[in-house]
Amino acid sequence: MTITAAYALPPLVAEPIFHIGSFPVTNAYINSVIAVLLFLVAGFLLRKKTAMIPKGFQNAAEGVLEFMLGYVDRVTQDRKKSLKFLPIVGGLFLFILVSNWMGFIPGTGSIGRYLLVHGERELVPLFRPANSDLNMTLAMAVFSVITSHILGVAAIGFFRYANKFVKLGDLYHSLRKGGISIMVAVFEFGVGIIEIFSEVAKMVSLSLRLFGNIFAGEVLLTVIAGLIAYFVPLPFMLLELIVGLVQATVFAMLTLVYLTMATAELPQEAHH
Amino acid sequence: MDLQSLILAAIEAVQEVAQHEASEGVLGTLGINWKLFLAQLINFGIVLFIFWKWIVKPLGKTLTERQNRIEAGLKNADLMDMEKKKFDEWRQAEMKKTRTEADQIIRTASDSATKVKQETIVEAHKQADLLVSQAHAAIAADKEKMVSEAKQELATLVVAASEKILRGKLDSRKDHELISESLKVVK
Repeated sequence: MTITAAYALPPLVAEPIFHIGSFPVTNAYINSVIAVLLFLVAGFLLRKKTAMIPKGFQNAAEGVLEFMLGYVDRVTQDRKKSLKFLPIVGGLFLFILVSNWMGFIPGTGSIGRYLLVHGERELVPLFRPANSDLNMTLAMAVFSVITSHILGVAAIGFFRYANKFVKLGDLYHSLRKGGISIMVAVFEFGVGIIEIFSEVAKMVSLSLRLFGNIFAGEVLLTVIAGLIAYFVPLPFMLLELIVGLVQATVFAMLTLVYLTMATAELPQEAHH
Repeated sequence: MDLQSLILAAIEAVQEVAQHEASEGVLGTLGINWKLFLAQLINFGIVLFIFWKWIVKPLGKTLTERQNRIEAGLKNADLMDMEKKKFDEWRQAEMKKTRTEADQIIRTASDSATKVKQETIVEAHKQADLLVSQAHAAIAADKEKMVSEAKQELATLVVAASEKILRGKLDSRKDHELISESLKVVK
């Protein structure tokens, strides 16, 4: 390992540092593992902290938890649902936030190994923000959308939930009613099919938004630091700190909205 | 690194991406690798599990318990306030009642004392009057007795003296007259 100051633009794809069998351990994966370890330590410290009068770390953790619970409450309007969604939404938020902010730790992007890349010897950084790897953001997006469907089915039942997308039930009811309602039902059936595609779009938009923002931030900081190394990058770093927080909030909030919408009871239709 | 070299690096990166896309398709260009995807998913799953099991669960339980305790405490405080208010009202009423009773007792005692005093004074007066009248009667009786005895004594003395003086010169007739006259004077 060589320590050096390098300002090469980060590539779109996370670079493998070494391989375990056929599994490529990339620099983004290393960061994600470090984030997991941080959570492990935090969890280990907090799991027995159940004092009625909180102090220190427990106090801070409770503050964060209550703050997040307040936000979740505003979307769900239901404390029971909030408590159910908090582990998912809060976990997403904190994991994304920690991963994003870990990119500011000195050494990220500058400590690396000289490896052969495309036949040339280049410095490959050991650490790269976990969310500047699309695998990470896509994994979280897929998890969010699939979890929302699972919880939706659990909340309102499989057939009622399936009727949100494949509106055969509505079509059947409209046939019995006749008239203009058949036309409406046919259109709604079409809309339902589009909804299926929108579910895929959700995953793509969630993952690409986060990836794009964090990766662009990395590129921006590298370019600015490459132009003028001292003081000038500071405002941009502050900007990236805010971007990291905002993107974590956006991802978590959108997931929360998907969860809330999926578990919401269907509105009473006119023909019921 | 100057601006020109940065632009060159950017062009290089774009060319590299274009080559990648041509060889590996869109997913390959974006770096999607199912093994890495699964590994990242597992990492995220571990984080969620830790967050849920070790952080949200115990802290959420503590928060709920604390909230319940605070609610119970506030309810108890309200109850205590009400009880205190009730007790204060009861205490005030009792104090008032006791004061009235005490006043009544003092008044009764004072009245009794005054009555006893009056009676004692009257009785004492009576006793005194009785004693005075008894004394007066005794004195009057003593005086009468003394006067009577003095008269008797005097008469005897007068008779004896007169007898002594006149024995020689007076005859029995004169003696008799003198006695009578002397007795008249005495009477």
